[in-house]
Amino acid sequence: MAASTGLSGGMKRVLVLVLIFLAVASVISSISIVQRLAALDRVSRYNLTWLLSQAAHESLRLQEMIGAAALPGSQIDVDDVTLRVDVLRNRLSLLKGGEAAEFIGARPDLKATVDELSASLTAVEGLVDRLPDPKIAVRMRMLLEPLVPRMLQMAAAANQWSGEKVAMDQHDLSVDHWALTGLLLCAALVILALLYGQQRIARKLESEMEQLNSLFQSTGAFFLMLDRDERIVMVNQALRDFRGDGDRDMVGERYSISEDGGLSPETAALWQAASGSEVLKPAEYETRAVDVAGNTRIIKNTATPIQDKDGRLLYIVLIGVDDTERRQAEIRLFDASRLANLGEMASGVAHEINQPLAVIRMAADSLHEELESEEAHADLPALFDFMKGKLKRISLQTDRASDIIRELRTVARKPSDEAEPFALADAARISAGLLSEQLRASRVALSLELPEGPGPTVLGQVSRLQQVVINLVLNARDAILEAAPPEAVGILGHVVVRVSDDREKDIATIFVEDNGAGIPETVLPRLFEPFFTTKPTGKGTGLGLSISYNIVRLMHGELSAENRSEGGARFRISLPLAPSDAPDQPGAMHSTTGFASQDGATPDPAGTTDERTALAAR
Amino acid sequence: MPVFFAPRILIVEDEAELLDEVASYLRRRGETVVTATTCNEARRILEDDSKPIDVLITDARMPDGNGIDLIRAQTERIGDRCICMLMTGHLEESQITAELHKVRIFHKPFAVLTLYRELRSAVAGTSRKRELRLDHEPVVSAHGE
Repeated sequence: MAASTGLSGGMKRVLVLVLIFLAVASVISSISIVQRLAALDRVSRYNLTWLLSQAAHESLRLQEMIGAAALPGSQIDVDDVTLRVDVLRNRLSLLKGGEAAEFIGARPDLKATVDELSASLTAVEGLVDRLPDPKIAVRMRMLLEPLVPRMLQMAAAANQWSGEKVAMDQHDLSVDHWALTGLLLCAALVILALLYGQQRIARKLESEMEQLNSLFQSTGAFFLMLDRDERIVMVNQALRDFRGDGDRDMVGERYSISEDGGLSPETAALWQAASGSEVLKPAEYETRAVDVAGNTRIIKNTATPIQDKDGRLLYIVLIGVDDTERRQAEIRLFDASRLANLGEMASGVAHEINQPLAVIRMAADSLHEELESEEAHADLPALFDFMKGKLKRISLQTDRASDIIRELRTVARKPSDEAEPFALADAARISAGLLSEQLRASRVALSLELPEGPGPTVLGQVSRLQQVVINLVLNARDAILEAAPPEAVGILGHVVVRVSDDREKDIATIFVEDNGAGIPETVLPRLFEPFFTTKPTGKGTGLGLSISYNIVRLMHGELSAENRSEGGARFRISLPLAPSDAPDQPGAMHSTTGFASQDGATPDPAGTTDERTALAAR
Repeated sequence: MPVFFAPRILIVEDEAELLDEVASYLRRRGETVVTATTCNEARRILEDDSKPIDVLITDARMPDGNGIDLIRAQTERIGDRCICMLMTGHLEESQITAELHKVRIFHKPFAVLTLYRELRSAVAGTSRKRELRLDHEPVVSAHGE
C-alpha cells in the first residue's frame, strides 16, 4: 500500500515544531503582558509628572508661607515650615530613583536643574533655624523663587517623556499582539493542511483496501489468514462457499492447520517457536477436502508464515488451489503413456510367449506321433518315460508362458491411488524381463544387477514404477541404436539395470545405464521438461521423461540423469524406503514376489533365482 | 537304388528346451544331428570342412548374433549344397532379403513334423543332384541290378 495510516515522519516533525513554537509564544506573551501590567502599575503609582507637579506645588506653598513671614507682624509657624521643607526634600529625593532617574539621567540639563534645586533647598534648610527673622525669610524666598517654574518645566518635560514612553509601549504591545495572532493563524493553517493531507491519504487507503478486498474475495483460490493462536483473521468467499459456510463469518474461530492433514505438526511447532533472525520459509503440501456437494477435491496448499520485526510468528497465510482437474488429467496422461509403453512392448512379449508355445507344440506333436507308432508300443516302459518327459516339459512351459503373462499384467494393471509397499528389485526385474526380447531384437544386451535377498521395500504403485523403468530402458536402447554405425555387427550396446539400497540414508535406488552416445550438455538441464525432445519430428512425444519424472516425484522420490565417465548415460531413480513397520499388503507383495521363488531345478529363463545376467544369457 | 546319403544336420538354437525337442525328434528318426547354442559355436562347426554340414536349421535371434548372418555366410561358402532353414518367432519384412528366398522359414510355434517333411524333401532333391553329378565320375554305386 502506498500510504501508512499514521502521519509521516516529516509531518510529525512539523507538527511538533509548531506546537513548541505556540508554547514558547504563549509563554513570551504572558511574560509580556505581566510586564506591561507591572509597568502600568508603576506608571499609575509613580507618575513622574504628578511627582514633579506635586513638588512644584509644595514649593509654592512654602514660598507663600515664607513670603507671609516676611511681612511685619506675621506669625510664622516654624514647625510648619520645617515640615514643608522636609516634604519638599522628600519629593526631591524621589527624583533620584525609579522612573525619574531614567528620565533625568537621559537629560543632563535636567540633572543640573535638580542639583541646583537640591543645593537651594539645602541652603533653605540651613536658614530655617534663623526664622522668623524677616531678612532670612526674604533670602529664603529668593532661594525658592526659581524652584517652582523650573519644576513646572520639568513636569511638562516629564509629561511629554512619559507620554512618549507609553506610546512606545503600546506600539510594542500591539506588534506583539499582531505577531502572535499571525503566528497562531499560520499554525492553524498548517494544522488544517496536515489534517486535509491525512484525509486524502485515508481516502486513498480506503479505496486501495476496497480494491484489495474485492480481489481477495473474488478469487477462486481459497484464502485464509490465521494469527499465531490459530484463530481466523481473514477468510475469503471462495473458501466459505467451498465449505458451505457462505453466511457464517468464521472470523475469530479456531482453525487448526496441522489437522487438515497438511502442515506437519513439526513445522507448525517450529514456526510457533521462531524468534530473532530466523527466516521461516513457506511450506507446500497437498490435502484432500470434501466440498459441500460431497465431492473429494485435491487441494494444493501453500502456507506462508509472516514474522514481525522481532522474528516471532505474527500470521499464517494459507492459499489453496483446487488441483483436482489437473491431477486427474495427469493420471490420465500417466495411463496413456503406460498403454503406449505396453503397445511398444507387445511384439517383444508376443515373441517371448511364442517360445514356450513352440516347445509345447513340439512336445505334444512328438508325443502324439510316438503314441501312434507301432515300434514305440513294443517297449512300454520306454514309452511311458518318454510320455512323462514330454508331459512334464509341456507343464513347465505352460507355467513359463503364464509367468510372462502375469508379469505383463502387473504392468498393464491400472494402478490404485493408494501407495502400497512393494519390493523394488522385483519391479525392476519384471520390467527388464518384459523388454528382454525387444532389446535382443535390436541387438542390445540387457543385464540386471540386483541385491541379494528380497531387497529394499518402497511405497508407491508398482505398475507406475515399472512404467518408469520401461521408459528408461527403451530410451537407453534408442540412444544405443542412434549411436551405432549402420555397418556395425554383433551387439550394438549394453543396458544395465541396477538396484541398490542405502539403509543409512533410507533410500533405495534404481540405476539404468547405457553405453550409448550420452546426453549432450545443452540437453541435460532440460531433459525432464514436458514436450522437450531431441528425436526428429513425428518420432516420440517428448512426454516420456517428464511423465516418469512426475511419477517418481509423486512417490516422494527423485529422477535424475548424468553422463557416465566411461561414456553413455546413467539415470537414477531414488525412492525413500518404506517405513520398516509398515504392514506388507498381501495383495501387492504376492503378485510381485511370485516370481522371486522359482523352481531352481528347471532352467527357466524368465526370472531365475540367479539374477545376474539371466536375461542376457537368453 | 538311388544313392541317398545321411545328411549332417546342424541345429542352432539358444533355447535349450526347444533345441532338445527338435534334435531329439530328428535323432529318433535316424538323423545325424549336431547342435549349437550360440552363433560362435555354430560358425566353428560350419567352418570345419572335415565334417561338412548339409542342413542348417537355425533360430533367428541369438545372444551373440543372428541366424540370418549364419545362413548368409554358409550360402556364400558353399551355395546350394547346404540346405538352410530358419526358425523364427517373428520376422520383420525388412529382414527378408533376397538371399533368404531359397530358405525355408518356419514361424514358431510350428509342427516339427512339417519341418521334418520339408527336410526330407529338400534332402531328396539334393540327393538327386548328387546322383546326377556322380554320372560324370567313375561310379562306385550300388545300382541295383
